[in-house]
Amino acid sequence: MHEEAAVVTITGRFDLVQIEEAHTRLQDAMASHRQIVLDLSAVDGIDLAGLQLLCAVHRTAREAGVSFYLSRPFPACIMDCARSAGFSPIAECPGGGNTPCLWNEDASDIVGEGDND
Amino acid sequence: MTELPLESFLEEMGDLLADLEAALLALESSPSDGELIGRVFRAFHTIKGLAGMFGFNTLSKFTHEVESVFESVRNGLLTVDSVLVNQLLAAKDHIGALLAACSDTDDKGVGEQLLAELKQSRETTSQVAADENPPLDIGSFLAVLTDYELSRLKANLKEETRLYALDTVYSLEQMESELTKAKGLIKPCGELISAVPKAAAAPPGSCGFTLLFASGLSEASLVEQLGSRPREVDTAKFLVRSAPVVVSPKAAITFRVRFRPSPEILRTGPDPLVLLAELSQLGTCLVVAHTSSIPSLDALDPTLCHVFWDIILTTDKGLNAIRDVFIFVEHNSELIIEEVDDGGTGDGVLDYKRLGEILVERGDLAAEHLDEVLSSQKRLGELLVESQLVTSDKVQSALVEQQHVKKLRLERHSEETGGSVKVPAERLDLLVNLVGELVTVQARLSQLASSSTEGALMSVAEEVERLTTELRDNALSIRMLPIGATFGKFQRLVRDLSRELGKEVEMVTAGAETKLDKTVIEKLSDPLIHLIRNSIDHGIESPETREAMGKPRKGTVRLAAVHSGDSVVITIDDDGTGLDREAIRARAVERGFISPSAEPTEKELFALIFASGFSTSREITSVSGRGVGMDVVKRSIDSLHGTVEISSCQGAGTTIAVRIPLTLAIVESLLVGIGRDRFVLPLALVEECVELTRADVTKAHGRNLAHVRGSIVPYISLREVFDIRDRMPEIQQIIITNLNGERIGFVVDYVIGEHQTVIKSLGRVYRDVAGISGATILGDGSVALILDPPHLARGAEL
Repeated sequence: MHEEAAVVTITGRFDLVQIEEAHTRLQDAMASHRQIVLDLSAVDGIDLAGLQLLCAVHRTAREAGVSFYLSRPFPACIMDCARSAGFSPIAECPGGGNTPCLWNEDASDIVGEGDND
Repeated sequence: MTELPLESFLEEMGDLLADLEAALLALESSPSDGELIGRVFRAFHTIKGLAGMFGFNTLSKFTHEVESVFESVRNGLLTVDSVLVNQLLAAKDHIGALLAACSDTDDKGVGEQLLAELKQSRETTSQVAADENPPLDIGSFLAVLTDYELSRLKANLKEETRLYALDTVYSLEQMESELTKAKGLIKPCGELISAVPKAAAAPPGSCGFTLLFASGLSEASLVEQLGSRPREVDTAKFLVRSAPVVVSPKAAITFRVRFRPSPEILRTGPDPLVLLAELSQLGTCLVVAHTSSIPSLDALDPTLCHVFWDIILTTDKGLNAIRDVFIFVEHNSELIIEEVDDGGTGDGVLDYKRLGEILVERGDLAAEHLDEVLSSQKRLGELLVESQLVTSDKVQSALVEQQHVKKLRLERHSEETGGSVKVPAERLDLLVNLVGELVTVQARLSQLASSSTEGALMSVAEEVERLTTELRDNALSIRMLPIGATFGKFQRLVRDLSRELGKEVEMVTAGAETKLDKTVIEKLSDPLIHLIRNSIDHGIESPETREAMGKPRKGTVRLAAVHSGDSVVITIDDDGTGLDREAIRARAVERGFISPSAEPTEKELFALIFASGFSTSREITSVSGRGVGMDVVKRSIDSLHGTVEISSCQGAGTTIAVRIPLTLAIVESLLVGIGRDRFVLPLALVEECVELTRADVTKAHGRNLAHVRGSIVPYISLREVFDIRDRMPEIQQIIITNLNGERIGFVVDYVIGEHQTVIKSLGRVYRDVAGISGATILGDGSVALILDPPHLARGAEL
């Protein structure tokens, strides 16, 4: 288990086309690292598959005790898409106890998610 | 029909005149706007009618003449130009002047002259064909109908019956029986809405009525039934005016849609997000995604859809339009569409289903589980999630539905009832004063309760505190008025002033809906007029100069209001010449405000404009660009506990920002003590508190300067100012305030804490005491003086 962070970078349109590849990369990172930095700053679009995967990573990291960071800037297009898809903030994440929802107002400020328990 | 008191007549007239002026000014820039023309016409017409009813016959006659000129505009025979707008504005002013004097005689023949001018402009166009029996305008009736009569009128118009008026004159003795007879005649034809006493004077000993009734019969058969010919009332404008209420084509219905697409949908299409977007085109749409079944990373097949949605949609397009959106996915998705609100307004519609009901209805919760959980006393949503009967996103989704429908119903309800009451301002002031007293008494009660051992007293005191806070907030919010009406007044000012000065200026306003306490708005009007006048007089250049500088001929003054915390910021922005820094500097040196070697920052330099005696002579204003009486502006803003700031770019314009607290009745403040005396400082001005030891004082060698984190802050010892001789504590406190960008400290013995200060004005004798802006009564019944830091600081400089 590596102490340093795994950086997973996703670029372009985060959608069905690259979802399986991104899924595999995130699974690998989760299996071997205690910290994950997800760099979405070069993402210029997202679909439901992408949103689902983000939710899943966020919850899984929490459950596995892996620190999960989003690098800044967090693209507005992701937040906009999440809003219109009704992902917008539910006070408590349905999947993981008291985890603040990934889609909270200030999710773009998440820099130390997952390391406070 | 009860007689309306003169007061409310004058008030109504005031509103009408203000509306008239706004409409006329708007008409000037868009002369062919039919709606505006209608608005002006209605205003004149209503003024005429009301004036007649109250015996202002000269006024009524005058308005009638003006109205008939304007009728040519309405009929498209006369076009609106600025000459006509000028004349109409003058006519409006004349009406206002007559009303203000409460006289119905036009001694100086002003009206005559205005009419002569108006008629002249009319004669240049063709004459209006005289209609022998024109349809009556409904405007004159609307003002005198009761709410019930209005609602009957609306109900009848909805069914597309026509409205008629029958003029009658009865002798006073037989009035009652004649009226009953007439009503009896009308009844079989339709519904009598109201019997309105006639405006025109009836012969002595008799009384005229206009019977307003709705009927589906043709005019010919009405003549037969009634024995006389009624006049049809033109309701077209009424329908336009309140279109959403009277002619709602199809009520907006709220649906709850649960959409659980087939997991394959991501691969097979269509994209569910596109479907949601289409849905949101239909109306107001709230989407809640249920994400709780998204599995963890390892179990996830990222190409399957694990999400389903609840959508609350308010639309007037109907159920089929919703079905059409899902037409390609319906066969393999779970799609439930239910109507949750039919858009109707019956009794008790303000309440919506409870959370439990919604969840059971949606099938998210079994009814027996609900009963089980309800037997305990906590909030249902929390309980359900705790007991894992329902996931939190399902609860959330149900709450979204509940809130949306409640809000919708509340809006509809207030639309329907028109929900407003006119109350004289004095009564509101009295209410606010009483609430102020109550806040004071409540503070005493809380203090007593906390020092008592009686537990029950404490809980009562807490309850009273909660209620008082709510009552206070509500009472204050009643007095809040949108600042737009004041902005409206400035439009006229800008128009007249720019004409006078031969400049072309347009005023743009923003944030007219921003609300401020009525008393604040009243006191703010004068300083704002002053600032706008300055912007136009000295800021905006002449059209020729502007063109030469490559600017548009027309200058712009932008007036904007915006909420910011517990205050409102009003900015006056012009694209004129800007402030001349060097001229200001030279003047400041000349008058001894700064030393020739001083290097003031731009902010400090501009702040000098507000210094009294800075520029009182004309010649300086023409050089510096700003000036006459800016100190007066500053003082009135100070008295409102406000601040003012200037920024300017030479050649490009000036921005003046005025920050004013929302209300003057109650302020958040800092309670401090010196010896046995208590004082309060407005919290908005306070930046921080630091300690001042005796050693610090000695070190400063008698200069009142404190070192705060490397910078030097001058301070004023309030002990000295108020000549308090109690023993001085070892460590005093400096309250550092920010006065227009300058940090100035006030030394007190100790800080007690934050305080809700109900402001009481001081008696006549003490009103002019410098440095004190009022007093307040503390919880223990003692009095604390409210300090006026800007004033104290100015006093210390002299």
